[in-house]
Amino acid sequence: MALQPGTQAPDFTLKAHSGDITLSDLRGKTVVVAFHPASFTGG
Amino acid sequence: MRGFRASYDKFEALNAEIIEISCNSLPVQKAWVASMKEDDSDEDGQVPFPVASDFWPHGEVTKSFDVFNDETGGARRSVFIIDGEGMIRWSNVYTDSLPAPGELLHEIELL
Repeated sequence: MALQPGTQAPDFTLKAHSGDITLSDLRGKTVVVAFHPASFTGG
Repeated sequence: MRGFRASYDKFEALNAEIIEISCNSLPVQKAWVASMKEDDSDEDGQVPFPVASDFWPHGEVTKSFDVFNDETGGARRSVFIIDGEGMIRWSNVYTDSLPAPGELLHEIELL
């Protein structure tokens, strides 16, 4: 079951096409995190 | 992805950032971004938000959000809206395609 509203989001740092991205660096902004099964699958 | 990209200015206007994550390796993510450029020649080809790789340790972040699919080894299609304090305010898992950007924009406006 996916993490539910009211839960603190786990912080993470990942490599992205544009460089490293860290969730906690975005404090103060709303962040939409979208997970995909695989790239090249649309959506 | 395409829908998010086309609506990115609307997310920006709400002080919202987008992070796309899959368990593909980084070269695959980069190839995907590059394929966007080829497909949409009428745009400048830039994907304005991070397309991130949760490849190694495999699926670690995906597992921490509890959306790792043990059968496929990839992420379940899902969206989390996280507020400026790092709190999850909205989440949903999808079996087919992601929701229209307008639905997410609406949820952000309601925060």
